[in-house]
Amino acid sequence: MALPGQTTPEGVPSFKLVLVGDGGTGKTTFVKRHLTGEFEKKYEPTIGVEVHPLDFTTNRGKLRFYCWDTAGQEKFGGLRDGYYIHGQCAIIMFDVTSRLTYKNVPTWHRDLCRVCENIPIVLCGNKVDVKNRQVKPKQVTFHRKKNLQYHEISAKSNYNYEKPFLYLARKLVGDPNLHFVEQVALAPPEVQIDLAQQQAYEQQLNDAAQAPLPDDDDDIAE
Amino acid sequence: MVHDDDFEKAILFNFDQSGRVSRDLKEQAQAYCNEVKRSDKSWRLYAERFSVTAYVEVKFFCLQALQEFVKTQYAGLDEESRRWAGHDSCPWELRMQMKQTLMVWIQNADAVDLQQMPAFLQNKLAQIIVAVVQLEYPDQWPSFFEELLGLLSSGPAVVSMFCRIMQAVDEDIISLEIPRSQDEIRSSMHLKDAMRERCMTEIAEAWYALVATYHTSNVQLAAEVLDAAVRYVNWIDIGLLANDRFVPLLFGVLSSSSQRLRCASIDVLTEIVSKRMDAVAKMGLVQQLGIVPICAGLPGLEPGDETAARLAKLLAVLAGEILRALAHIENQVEGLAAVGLAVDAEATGEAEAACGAAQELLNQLFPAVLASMRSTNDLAVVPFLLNYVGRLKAVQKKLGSIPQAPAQHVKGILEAVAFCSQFPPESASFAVLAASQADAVAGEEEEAAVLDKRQDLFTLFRNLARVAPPDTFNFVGARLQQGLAARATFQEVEIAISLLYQLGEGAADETLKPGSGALGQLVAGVMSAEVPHAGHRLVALALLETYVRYSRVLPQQQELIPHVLAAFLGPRGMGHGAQVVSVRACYLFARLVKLIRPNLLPLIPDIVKSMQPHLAHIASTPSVDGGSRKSATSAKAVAALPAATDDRLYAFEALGLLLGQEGIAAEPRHAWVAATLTPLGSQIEAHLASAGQGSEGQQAAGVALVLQGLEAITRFSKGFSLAFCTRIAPEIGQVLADTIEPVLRVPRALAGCKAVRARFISYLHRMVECLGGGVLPHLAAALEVLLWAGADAGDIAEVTALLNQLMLRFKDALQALLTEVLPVCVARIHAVLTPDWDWSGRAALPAGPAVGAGAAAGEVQAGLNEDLREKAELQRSYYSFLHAVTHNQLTGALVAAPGQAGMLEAVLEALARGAGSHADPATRRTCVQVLRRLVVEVCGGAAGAPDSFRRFMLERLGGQVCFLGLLRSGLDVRDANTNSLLLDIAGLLKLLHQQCGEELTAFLCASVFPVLALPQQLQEQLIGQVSSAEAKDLRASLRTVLQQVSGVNPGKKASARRSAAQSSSECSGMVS
Repeated sequence: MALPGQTTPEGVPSFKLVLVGDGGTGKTTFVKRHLTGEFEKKYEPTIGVEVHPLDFTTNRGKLRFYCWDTAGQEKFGGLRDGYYIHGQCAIIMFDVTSRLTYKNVPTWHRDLCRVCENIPIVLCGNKVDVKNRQVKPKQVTFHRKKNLQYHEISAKSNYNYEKPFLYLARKLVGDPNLHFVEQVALAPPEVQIDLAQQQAYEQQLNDAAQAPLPDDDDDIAE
Repeated sequence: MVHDDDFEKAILFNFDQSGRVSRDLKEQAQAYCNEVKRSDKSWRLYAERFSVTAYVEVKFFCLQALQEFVKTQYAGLDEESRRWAGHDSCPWELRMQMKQTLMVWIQNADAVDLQQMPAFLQNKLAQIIVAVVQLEYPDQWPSFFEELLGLLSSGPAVVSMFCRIMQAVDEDIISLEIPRSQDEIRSSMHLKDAMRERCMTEIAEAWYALVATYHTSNVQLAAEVLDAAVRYVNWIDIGLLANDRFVPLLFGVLSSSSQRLRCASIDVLTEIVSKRMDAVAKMGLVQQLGIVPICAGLPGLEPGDETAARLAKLLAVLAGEILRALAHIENQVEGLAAVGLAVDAEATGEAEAACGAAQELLNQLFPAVLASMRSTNDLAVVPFLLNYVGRLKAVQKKLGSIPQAPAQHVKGILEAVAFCSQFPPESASFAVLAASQADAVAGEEEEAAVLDKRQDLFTLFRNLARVAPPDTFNFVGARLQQGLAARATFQEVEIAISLLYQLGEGAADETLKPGSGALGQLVAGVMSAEVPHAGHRLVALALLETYVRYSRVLPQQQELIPHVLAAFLGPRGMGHGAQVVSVRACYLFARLVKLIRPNLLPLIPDIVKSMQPHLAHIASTPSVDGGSRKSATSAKAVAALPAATDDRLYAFEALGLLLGQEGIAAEPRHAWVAATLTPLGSQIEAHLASAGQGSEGQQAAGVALVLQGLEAITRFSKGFSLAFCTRIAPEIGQVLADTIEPVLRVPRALAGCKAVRARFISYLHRMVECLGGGVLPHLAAALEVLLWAGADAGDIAEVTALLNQLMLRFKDALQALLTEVLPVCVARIHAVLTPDWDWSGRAALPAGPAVGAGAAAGEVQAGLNEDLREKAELQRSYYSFLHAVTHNQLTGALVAAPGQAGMLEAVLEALARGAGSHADPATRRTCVQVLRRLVVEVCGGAAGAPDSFRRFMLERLGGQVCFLGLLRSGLDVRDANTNSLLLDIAGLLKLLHQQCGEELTAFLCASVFPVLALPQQLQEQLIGQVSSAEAKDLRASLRTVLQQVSGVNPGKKASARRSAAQSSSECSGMVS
């Protein structure tokens, strides 16, 4: 799976990671934050996908994700769900400032799961640095129905950058205590995230996690 | 002609991500593939290739192409495809052929071993068929499902395809999860209706038969069948599944050796139980299913088994549905009775029977619910329990007590809550410091997970405590007894203390009474006990929080105090090796002292002695991140932000609070205060001397130490009130006053440092609070330092804000100081707000000029805007500063300043511009109010007003401010601020008339009204009111003027504004 000039070092396990989501949700920005990936990536603009090798060092050694950034596919070009073939894990990204991108998450999930059955998937709500968010944490419930992991991230400020990778690495390696031991080299943040605001959101998310899933039925009578 | 090898190669090149295929070649390959797709008969090619090729990529590509073909050419909907195909839609024969091909594939699935192909190929094939079904079922292809069901006997591969097709029907047509267009929704309804009418019975029958056939021989396949079936439960006749054949089969499968099959069965049951229906019907369904005894009787499951999690969800849904139905039926009967409708005996009887049955079912289910909560790591049943306890509360309110069975459940829930809230037995949590980074990460993650889990569990616990206080107290008592035993684990101790802490929220006073209060006894027990593992971070935190929460017990039981104090002051508190604990201990100790300060008097000598080493340590180690961490017991996790200041400094505040009270002998007190302050002073002095030396890092470290010392003094002083420092113990006041001179050197040496300025200003505020007028002699020097030559807009605004506060506090006692400072201050302000500054405040409005700029330009713009914003802020501060000067009997400093003639002119100019043009009516109003005071002051002097001032009054105030300024937009007549402004303008006009008399009215008539183009009648009314009417009446007329000039007659307005602008530019500069 390695690209030319970037053969996976011997003994380093590597995994194909499929990155999907509506256009403009920040998938490309997200992968490009990772500097080794950025230096080594091979850019193939005509084929509708870019593959970035992203390295992480864990307490159990190095591992590499080949991250398939599936941006920019016109209707008849590209291979669309063909790119998912042999995917071992995935990130579905939406933009918390755009409701539509969240609404389309189930479609991405469906298409992904038809090609890659039973792979670990992380749902990522990107752009949480933007003040005017449209998808509030308590509205994010899809991951609970489908047993996905959910993380709020901000690619531009590097907020929670490693979280999705850590979850996937743990699942793929099968070690819930795996952790990253070196700081990943990330491009410097372009914006500062309002931590207080974000903590409030995390709190909401926690609260939401405990709340029953929304249901079209009447509320439970007390 | 498509060459076989070319075709495969092209596709494989297209898929290649190894980089071995050059870009050119790839483009060629893609072009080739696209070209092939343009052939209208190409579906045959794909069909053939699919069967022949050995490569999964090629197979997938072929299926993708077929899918595309169905959605475009086959459907005949796509313009572009039509153009390619050269006819409107796919001919009928072609469609038939294609359908036949697809069905033959399915039929031969077992023969060709379709199941051996990767799942994604099977799924793709299912999607193609469903795409055809969507177009043709039921109208053109009514027999589809029959045909499909007819194939099932061929073998497992066909069955698997059947499942995938049923799944794709749901995903691609029906499921509400996927966003769909109106047309798609209509088509989905159509399909559902047709299926219900024609084939659902047969399909359900097939599901049953397949599960029955395969549940032992091919568990995977049986699970696939159920995974497909579960998607249909919510819209088909429930009887098709909830019947006496299917349900026993599902129950039987629960003991299957296959986890996947067990889970699939549970999911179907969950879906059946949660089907939407009327409450009575739901009760009937639950009883008919006989699911409650089955669930209650299931053996315990290993935690970590996925089945346990699914079962927990089933139990949560089941119990929740029964509770919902119960509440619904009760409410119905009560509701009818409440509105006075007769409820006949039979109906009441039925309802009661239903309620009784529901209660009974819940009772049966409870042990399983609680067991599942304990065995899984999953809190799925917690929402049900919260509702259940909520209902108990209502029942209690109605009946006065809780019936026996639920009372038993309360105990069970308490047990389960405590069990689930506890740190795991093999805890990753470290006692003081983590041995390695890995341990630290593991410990922190575990802690975060436990705290998250506790949120709802503790809510449940507190609700239980409100419903059944004695039970809860007894429960916590037992837990404490267990936790305080010598061999208890840290987990047992920690949870016992944390639960005790939770009880304190909203606890009634009588429960805390010494002797009789149940809670008070528990608390006293903990406060006097030698708690095992008290050195563990989590236990230590829980204890400290608990001591503070229940500090009201201490004044009544003073014998407990020394033990509690030792916890704060010793190695389990401020001296703890873990920073979380030591920081939190400082903060909590300050709170404790505030709460029980008088009771600590006799212990002060010991406290001071114990604190001294901690204080010395804190002062000498400024922390970058002294933020308070989440406390272990706090239910609402406090945000763990990096605090702006070091929370450990609360220790100084605590000591100040202790020493700043009456009842301490003067001599030791003086010594203690001095012993606290002297080292801080020395620290500041020492590091100030070296602040400019050494490397950058060393310099920063030096500044940090200076600031830490300064902040420590500030915090310490919080304990000393004005009365204390001036009347009760003036010698202490003197010690504090003695710090001022050395502290003044700090901003003098580090004037450019914003942090230093901020800390110094808060120090000044503190000194004002402690020393009152005693500070006055030092203020001139302090202000001089703050108004240093390099002061920017923000710095100056800080100073004016400080001066405002001082004026409010000291009034005319500040006269001398102000006379000295004011000219400097005004000069500094005008050095920043240069003559070209836009005094209208519009340049700094948020919707400024940054629109449409590119990213980089945007950033530059942002910097620029920040500068504008600061200046605009300074302008407003300037006005409120002048307002404070003129409204605190200090106008003299402004008007009668000797040798400062230019200053008054500059001030008047700034005010006139603000009053006549500022975008914010409130700011204009401030200016008008100041101007009124100044007019009185200037004209009231013995010499009267000079000529230049008279002209200023007429032209700038009477003309510009009172009338022409109204033209400058930003004023909305409906706005309350604008109305207040108009009232002040009316007052100013009347004042001007007093001073200038007819000269004013003549000026208005000659030079102002014509510009405004006011009607004659309104002009006369205004003239009359200026001289004789009340200000309120004049305001009414001014409102009319404002309405006239803003928008009633746009044409007139535009011309009026033009001439007004001219005359404004003529008038400006008159004074400057």
